[in-house]
Amino acid sequence: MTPIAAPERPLYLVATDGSPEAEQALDYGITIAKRTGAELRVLSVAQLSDEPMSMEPGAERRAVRQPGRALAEANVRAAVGRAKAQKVRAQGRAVQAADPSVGIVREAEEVGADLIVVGSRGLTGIRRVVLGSVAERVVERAHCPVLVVR
Amino acid sequence: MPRPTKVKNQLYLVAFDGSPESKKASDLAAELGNKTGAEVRIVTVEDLAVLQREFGTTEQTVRLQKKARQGAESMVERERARIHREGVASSHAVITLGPPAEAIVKYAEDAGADLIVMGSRGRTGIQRILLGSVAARVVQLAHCPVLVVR
Repeated sequence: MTPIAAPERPLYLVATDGSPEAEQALDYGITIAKRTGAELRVLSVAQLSDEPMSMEPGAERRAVRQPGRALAEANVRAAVGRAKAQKVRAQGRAVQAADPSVGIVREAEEVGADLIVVGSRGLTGIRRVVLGSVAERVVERAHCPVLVVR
Repeated sequence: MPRPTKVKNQLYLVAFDGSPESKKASDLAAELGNKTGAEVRIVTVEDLAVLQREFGTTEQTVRLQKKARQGAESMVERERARIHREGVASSHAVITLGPPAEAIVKYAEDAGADLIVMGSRGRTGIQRILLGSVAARVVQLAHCPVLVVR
């Protein structure tokens, strides 16, 4: 396992879905990144779905389950902005996946994250009871440590 | 730039059971604790009531409980000493009433812990099990963030 305090800058992946819990997870990620000199990668997972392929510019979207693509990208921009305001290096992107936990784990592997930070609940709502929360599924599948924030 | 106000020292709890994964957990907690000035407390759950249920209330049970408790104490003290060498403020404790996940969560709450750090599996070691039941339950129940290490 790659130690977090490797000579090069550690990298933390923060997953967000725009929920208040995700904001808390982001804030926590920013706080420890400040202390450890880590860089952040923000990921918002948009649902691969029955969403209409095009959206009128400026259309309002209600975030019901997972954010639509445009909302996911807006979440990422806001999150990166927040990190940068605290002098933490950050980049981010929105991806699409049917299952957010898969998208998160895959991204963590691709970018070589040393830590994944997720909120414990987010927007998933009732699905949690049957499938287990996204956070739990990330903890199960991840190859690196996972910080579940509440 | 405004001077940051002093925050009370943070407390990271490591749920320890002697397994290699839980040693990784205490290593990571020590690394983070070093950077943030937090105290790292190594705790283990040794449910003495189990012995009572198995063997009843006899002198032999009392002896077994004493032995179990002493074993647990020396295990967490050894681990505390090990991470203390890395320069982090440390302490240890034995929780004598289970079940393990609920006991850890309650202890964390009573002690005002800011973070729980634990291995994903513990002594099970069975690769097929993605996430141990204790870790899963702590993630579910905890009132503070939980860092799961593998």
